[in-house]
Amino acid sequence: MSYRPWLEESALRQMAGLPDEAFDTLVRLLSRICDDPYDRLLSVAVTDDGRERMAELGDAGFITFTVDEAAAWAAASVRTCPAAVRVASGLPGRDWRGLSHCLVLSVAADTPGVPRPATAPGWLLAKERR
Amino acid sequence: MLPERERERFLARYREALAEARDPAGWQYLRRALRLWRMRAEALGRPGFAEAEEAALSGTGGGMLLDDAIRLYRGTA
Repeated sequence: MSYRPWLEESALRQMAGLPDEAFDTLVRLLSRICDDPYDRLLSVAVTDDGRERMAELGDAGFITFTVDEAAAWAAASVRTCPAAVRVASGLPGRDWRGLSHCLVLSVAADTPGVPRPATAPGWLLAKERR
Repeated sequence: MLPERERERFLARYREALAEARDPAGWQYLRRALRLWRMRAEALGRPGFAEAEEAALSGTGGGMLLDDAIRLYRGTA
């Protein structure tokens, strides 16, 4: 299983106001999250099941993200379909250092060989499949 | 101050991390967890953060892959 970051419209609007440094940091962080959303060297758990997590964004802020492995998918015998990782962020928008804005992201899992719909975020696909 | 639900979560995660803090990796994890929970507490105290987070979990609609966003904002192929 591999993951690809998906940005919601609200995130895209706020990303337009991010400084280059912040944008670069966000890209690097999302790339690492997609490598392993449960990596304890990168993120810490928020909830009991460990699926809602937080990760540091350099020294400037943090993101929170929810890993939805969508167990129902397996029950429905759609094991080749991607799970979903949703990311909600405490990133600032205009005030990069101030945690004054939220950036809303989602990270969609992507299984090699399984085409991903071009119009639906991964988490929406997961909800529909349930 | 953290809301009640968040306070319970923090205490549970803190105890877990503390129990594992005897080895170097666990100690680093504990320090990271405390830093992140401090930032989370600050964010939750700001108007709009909790609502935006909730909106993220319930979903709002369209968007694009990060790779496409990079091409859009950076003009790279």
